[in-house]
Amino acid sequence: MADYVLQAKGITKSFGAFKAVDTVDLDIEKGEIHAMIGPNGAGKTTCFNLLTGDLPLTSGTIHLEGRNISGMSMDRIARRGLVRSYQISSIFPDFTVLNNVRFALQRKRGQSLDFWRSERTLDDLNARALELLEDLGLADVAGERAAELSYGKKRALEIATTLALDPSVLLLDEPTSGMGREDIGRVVDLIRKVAKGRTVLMVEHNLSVVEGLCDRITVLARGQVIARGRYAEVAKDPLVVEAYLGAAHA
Amino acid sequence: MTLADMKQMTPSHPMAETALHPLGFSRARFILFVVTALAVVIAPFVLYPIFLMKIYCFIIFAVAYNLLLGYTGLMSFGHAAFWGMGAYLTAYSAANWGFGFEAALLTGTVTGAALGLIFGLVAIRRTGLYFAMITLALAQMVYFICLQSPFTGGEDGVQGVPRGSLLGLVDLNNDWNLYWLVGTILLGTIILSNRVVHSPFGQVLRAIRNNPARAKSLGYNVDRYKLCAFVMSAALAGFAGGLKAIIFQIATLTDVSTVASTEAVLITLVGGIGTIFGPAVGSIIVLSLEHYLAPFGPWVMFTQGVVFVFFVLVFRKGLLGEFQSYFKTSL
Repeated sequence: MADYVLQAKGITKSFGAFKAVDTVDLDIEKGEIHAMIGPNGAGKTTCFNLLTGDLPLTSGTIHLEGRNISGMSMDRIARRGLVRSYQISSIFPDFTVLNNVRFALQRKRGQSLDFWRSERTLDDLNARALELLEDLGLADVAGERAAELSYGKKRALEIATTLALDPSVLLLDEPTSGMGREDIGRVVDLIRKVAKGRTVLMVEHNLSVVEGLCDRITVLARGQVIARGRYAEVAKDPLVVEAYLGAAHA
Repeated sequence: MTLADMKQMTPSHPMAETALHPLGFSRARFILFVVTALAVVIAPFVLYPIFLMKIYCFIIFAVAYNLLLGYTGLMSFGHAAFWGMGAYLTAYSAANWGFGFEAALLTGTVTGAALGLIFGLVAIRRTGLYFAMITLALAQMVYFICLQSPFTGGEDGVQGVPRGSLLGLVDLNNDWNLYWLVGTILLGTIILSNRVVHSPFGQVLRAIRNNPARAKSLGYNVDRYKLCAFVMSAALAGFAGGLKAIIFQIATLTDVSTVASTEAVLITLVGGIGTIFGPAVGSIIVLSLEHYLAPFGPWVMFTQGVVFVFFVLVFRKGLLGEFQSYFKTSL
């Protein structure tokens, strides 16, 4: 399987008679930024949920770096280096912003069953956590309760937390949704920066972001792949124009 | 605030804490600990020591319960099983196997832990109401077994439990000796709970309470942490039940009935879930009400109900929980 870091074969998810994801194949090359696009309800997020183990597969197989991860639990998959962010920001609301990120760093260090030492032993992770917060423009709110952040900053915090795990494959579910233009620019720069040395798969609605950022795209509609390739090629595909771009570019 | 300042800062809790005191307490918690220690020293000269020891046992029981409800976010309705079986096995091993104080108490603790492991393995994958219902059902099964098996002495309970002596040196039949020992154990338990809650492990528990799905997607084996917390809590509850059996020299069906589970919930909620000292405050309030209203018979239950409703409506976070929010510190 050559240089495919993440490879899905015929993955399917049925909810009763409804196939949310229908025999989808994905080949994600090592080091690329790959976007999954498609109209609402196309099954993009469900696809993500299958790849990360949030949802069990109905059928199909998933390989991460050549190893079969189908049916593994979400936390095991995460420990193998495939980590995601969520469409609806998933943070620890009662923690400070800094502690949100630090909590991810703590897992990497692996002393989390230590119930006898003080949590102060985690303080030496603060510097690295702050670096990540600086990258996402959150350093000035490091001491605040995460619940009190604005929507856009919660998104940024979630990405910082995800990056803290230094994943080899990063799955971003609509990283720029709900963000202002300025924040979008920042996140795009950031994704480009963090993509060095790792693989990024993202769901994204903002096509100008996709065009500027992504190496290859896969287009989903009604649970199936209808096109894949470089943005310029795919954008001309009549199926895609009809299913998706048609609405936006008509 | 500059970035350099921030790197120095250690906001390990939403409300950033100041310097760390001996024994791992923050300043606010250290003050409360000193107050508690003073109260333990002064109280037996004012109040009946046996009653005080009962309160202390329930504090330890509630500390155990709070570790689960307050810090991990798991609502158990079955803690009577750990407390009650801890009491039974401590009492039985002391009365019938000739176990000394330490060995009997250890037996009760291990019983609690073992039962906790069984309950945990069955219930831990469920959340919220389902988790509560499974723990309740299992605890009812334990109650039924206790009701039917001969070793519990049925309605009579296990009676005449010898208190023995501490390390063969200090005679625990003397109420004062026993009091100082139980008081010390109480203070030790509070130190222990503070350490566990404010450790890297405690950090994971709080994260799980906050957002279990995200903890899992960050690579934490959430079920395993929950199980660890559950077994710890059950072991401590068994220990507390055993201590009570030694003090009162009896273990009865009441200890293993839903009454005991309700007591744990009530104390924890009244005192303030997710606070180190909430169980102490809650136990004092709940047990004092029971004790001083006892002459009024059935009105105890009624008053308890009123108090509970009052707390839920007025102090939703419990007494210390409200103080905690008001003073913006972690207690």
